[in-house]
Amino acid sequence: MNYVIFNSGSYSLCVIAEICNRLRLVTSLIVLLLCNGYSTVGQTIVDDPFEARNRERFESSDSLDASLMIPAAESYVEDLPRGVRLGVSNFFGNLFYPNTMLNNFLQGKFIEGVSDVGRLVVNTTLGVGGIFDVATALQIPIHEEDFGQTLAVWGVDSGSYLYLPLFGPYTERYTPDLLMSGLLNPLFYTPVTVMVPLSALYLVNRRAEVLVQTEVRDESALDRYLFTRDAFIQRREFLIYDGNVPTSNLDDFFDL
Amino acid sequence: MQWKLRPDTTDLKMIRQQISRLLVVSVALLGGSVKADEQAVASVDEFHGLLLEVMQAGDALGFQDRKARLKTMVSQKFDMETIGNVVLNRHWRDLSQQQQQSFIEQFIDLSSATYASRFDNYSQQQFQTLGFESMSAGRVMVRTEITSPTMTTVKLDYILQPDDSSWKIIAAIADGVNDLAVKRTEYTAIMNAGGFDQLLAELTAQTQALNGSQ
Repeated sequence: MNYVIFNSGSYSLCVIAEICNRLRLVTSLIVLLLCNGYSTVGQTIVDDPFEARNRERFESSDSLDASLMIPAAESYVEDLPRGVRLGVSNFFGNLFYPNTMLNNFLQGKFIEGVSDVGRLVVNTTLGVGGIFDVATALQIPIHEEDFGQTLAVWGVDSGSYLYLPLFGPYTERYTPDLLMSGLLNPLFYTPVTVMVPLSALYLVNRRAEVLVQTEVRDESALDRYLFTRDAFIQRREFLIYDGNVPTSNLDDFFDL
Repeated sequence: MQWKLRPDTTDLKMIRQQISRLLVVSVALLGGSVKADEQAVASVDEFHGLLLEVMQAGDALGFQDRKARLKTMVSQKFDMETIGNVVLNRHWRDLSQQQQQSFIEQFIDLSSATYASRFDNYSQQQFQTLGFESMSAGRVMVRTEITSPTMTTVKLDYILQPDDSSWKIIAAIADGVNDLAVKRTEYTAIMNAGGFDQLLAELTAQTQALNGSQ
């Protein structure tokens, strides 16, 4: 499908782009009608009314992380070559990709959504179940979308900050993505004997991927809870704007 | 009153002169603006150049030498007065001049140690300048990225403002995370709880931890 779209001549591309633009407009209008009154996309105000409870959860998760996850992740990094770990990351990234694809469509980004369909098909087939990232080699871009970002684009307020045991930092707006990304992950529909060991592998691999980042955090933070919270909120805004946060959002920060 | 359908030669000459002046002023303004933006980009490029040098020298240079070289650059290229004002927010104005100076010195030391710790080896990293964008109050955002064959590409945006004859960095934003915004939350909480002395003590301890871990 992707091949046909990107290799069928400039006229076809123009027609597809026009259709996509119209669909995007229609989606935007529907979204505006549904969510009239909300206009806080990417707002950076940190709303943390549950700070005391969140801090408790953060501390207990941190203890579990230090005693269980970090040693497991460090052993994993030591024992497995980088190429194998990359294959594991690619495999799980591909399993989660239907969520990205659907959310691009829900945000009215149809060109990106169609590109994601192509990416998913290429990596699942040529990439042997997603182990090899053939799509990136074919210059099909990778996107990072979720239902929390979709709700932000639809104008839903971010709500309060939450620190969820096992899952980490969230906002109220982002929590429905837990259900959506779970239901759209093929792993959810496999027998328990497959799902449990693969989920454990996913968790260890994911922890290994962010070992350096958490080391940097621990080195930089005076208050790790506040550091994690604020960095997370800013990172979410960055993702909502697809990496192009308007500079006007920063003006107030410097105008004291 | 006499109406002229066509301007005479004197009028035409005056109009031409006005247009010429307007063009000169516009070109001068445009040229000045481009030059200023280019200076901001050059300032970031110079900072990246030193980071690359320090990374390439890596272990051969050692932590203390890396830190010393970076400290000079951080002092020159970062507007610490503005950073102090931003990061301590309303508390900045309540500090004495001596306290402000102590904070700036400690912050430079901590920033240099942090850079020396993070940029300690070279894995074919490359800095690329992607462009710049004008902001309010004459500030400029310079958009860059750091790429490496073994790392995910990281977007690094710098905000600069003019200071006398040079452009100075007032914030660095990595993949959307503004380090100063995070620090402002942390520092404000510490200032509210224990005051300036506690903040300075914690910054000193953090710098010593970085120095000692190398």
